[in-house]
Amino acid sequence: MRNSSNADFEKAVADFQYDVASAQRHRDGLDRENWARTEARARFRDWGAARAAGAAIRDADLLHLERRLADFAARFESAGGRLHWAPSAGDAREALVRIAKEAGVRSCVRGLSSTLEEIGADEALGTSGVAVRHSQFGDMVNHLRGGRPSHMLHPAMHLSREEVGETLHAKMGSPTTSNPEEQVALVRKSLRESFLQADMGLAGASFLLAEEGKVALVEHEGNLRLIASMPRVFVVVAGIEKVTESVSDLPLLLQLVGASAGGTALPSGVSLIGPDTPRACGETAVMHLILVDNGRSLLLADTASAEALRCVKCGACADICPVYRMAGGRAYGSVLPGPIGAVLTRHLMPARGAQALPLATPLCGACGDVCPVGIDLHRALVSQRREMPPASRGWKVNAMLRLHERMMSSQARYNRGTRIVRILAVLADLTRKTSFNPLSDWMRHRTLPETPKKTFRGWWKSTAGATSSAARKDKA
Amino acid sequence: MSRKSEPADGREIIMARIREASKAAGLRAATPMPAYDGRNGLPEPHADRGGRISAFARRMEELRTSFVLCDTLQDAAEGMAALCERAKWRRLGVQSSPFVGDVLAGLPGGVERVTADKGKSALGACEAGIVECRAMDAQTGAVVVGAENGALEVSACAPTLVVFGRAHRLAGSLDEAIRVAGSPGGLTLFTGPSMTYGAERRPVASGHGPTSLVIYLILAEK
Ligand code: SF4
Repeated sequence: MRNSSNADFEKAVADFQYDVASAQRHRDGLDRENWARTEARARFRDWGAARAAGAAIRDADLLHLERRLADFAARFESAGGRLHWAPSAGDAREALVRIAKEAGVRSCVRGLSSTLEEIGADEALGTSGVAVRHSQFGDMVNHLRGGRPSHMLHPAMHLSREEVGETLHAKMGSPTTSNPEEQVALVRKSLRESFLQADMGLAGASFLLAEEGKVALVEHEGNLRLIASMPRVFVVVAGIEKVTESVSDLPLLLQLVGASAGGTALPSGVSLIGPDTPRACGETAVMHLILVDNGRSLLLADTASAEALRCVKCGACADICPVYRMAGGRAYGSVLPGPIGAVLTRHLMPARGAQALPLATPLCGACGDVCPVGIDLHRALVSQRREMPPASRGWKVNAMLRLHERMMSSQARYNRGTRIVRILAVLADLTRKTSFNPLSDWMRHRTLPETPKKTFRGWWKSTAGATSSAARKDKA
Repeated sequence: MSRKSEPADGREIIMARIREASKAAGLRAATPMPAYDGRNGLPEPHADRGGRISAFARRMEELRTSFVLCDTLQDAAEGMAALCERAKWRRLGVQSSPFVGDVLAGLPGGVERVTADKGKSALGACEAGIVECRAMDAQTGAVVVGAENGALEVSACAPTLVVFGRAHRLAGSLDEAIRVAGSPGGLTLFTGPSMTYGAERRPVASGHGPTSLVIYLILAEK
């Protein structure tokens, strides 16, 4: 997260809107996705009931988190897996580097995972001399370009096929092509050797199954199956909240994810892998799991935001959010753009300066409505706005909030205030393009509604409404 | 065998934090627990065998998967031999199982069969992978393949994946399919060929996994 303030966010949005074609591609992609999601949900007998059941499963997991983790650890370790508990991102990095060193790892192929970004896996491995290759198509293209992700599942959705072709040509020496099938085939060919030669496979997990001691890898491309099955060392990095009771929870959760993430019945590939899964073509294969807390247990204690840990990372809340639609994903500067990113980034990656993100939402509630596990994102965002340090809101917002607070604290001040605000509104409109106007930034993209001739109270007095309320008073 | 992987501190710190958080009970206060029966909301399962087979066939079409219905294992073996000839495959990655052995019985001479124990590079050079499936789901179109006897590696590497299944393993819902599949060392659920959503977020039916999927469903039980 490189955006540290509201101003950075606004600048990134302006840049995004300036690239008209990219902004249009982004919106077209969202429209297709939102339509596919609506169709996929229609296949359910009762989407609301399925969603409530998904929420209940995830809540039960979080309420019994300690027991679930203990069960998972016992099964995973008794099957021969190596478990590493990481209270912080730094501990997770240390564990990852230690695993690589002990196993003599020189090369690693990895999947798309927000947890890997959260702990800074690439940097940690890179400084230890391990070459890391990204294998998910969009993630790899973005990585080659050195760009920020625009979506948690589709990090390169803002790029045109021509831009992707140019990147592959420039960075990998591939023949130039703007045909997506050919581009994917080129990447498949180039990465095949990496899968076969890499010492280490590295991935995030969608779920951890407590009763079975296995991880569930959810994907579309088939890269995670290769990561899990080919290298001699397989490392999964997962947040503690990913644990769920057993494989019997998966049919429902996977169908909720399928419908919400891609508008499909199921994601195209789901693998359940454990330390006892035969892998690596008979070579001795070791499976490690790094369990990361890094702020999750604090979030669990937060009344308004604990539900965010139910998240199954489908990306639907971002797809539906009007701010994300207009801002694009890269403005968030987080690997988790959109409303859930605004809630989680502050907790899980606070060092990267996500303090202003809760402001990047109109609080319309669409995100909570679309969420397949019913997270009340609206409530979490309001609460996080309250907790924002005043400095992160900027002096203008703080000054206005203080004024508003004073004005609303007595009727006399309110009456005086409404008269003054009417004058200020006219002045603000007249000076909208000048630096005298403290709201000039805000007003660049917005027009104030026309100031009515009378205040509401003035109008009320002059109508029959006033007479009838006086009559009601007399009666009483 | 139980093995402690790390000094216990990390685990103790995290568990203590969780206990502390549970006292604050943020989640308990935040979320009422609805009664759980997920099946009430999911799509309608198919009860009878005929309904399942036709629903599965429809799903295969939607998922751009080739679906071949065979009366007997013999028919499937003949179909496989013909497919191999048509596609001019010379090297097949195969799961080591008696069932797969039977369906490959009619392969033309000169077609090499590569099992997972031959190593990654040998598997990586195969033109197709042949595995048996442990279960299928008529509702979602998922095909459940185990990880045993090299099935995980064969199915991960193959550009074209050919899966053989028996009709009595075709379930009416995903729930049932996972139960029918049982609990081998690992499972993979394939729902159509691999997809990539790259530029412009347009799905492209290709990726690192199988770019095409062929399912043979055998009606005879033996
Ligand atoms: S908060 Fe809900 S909608 Fe958003 S990514 Fe998570 S599960 Fe999906």
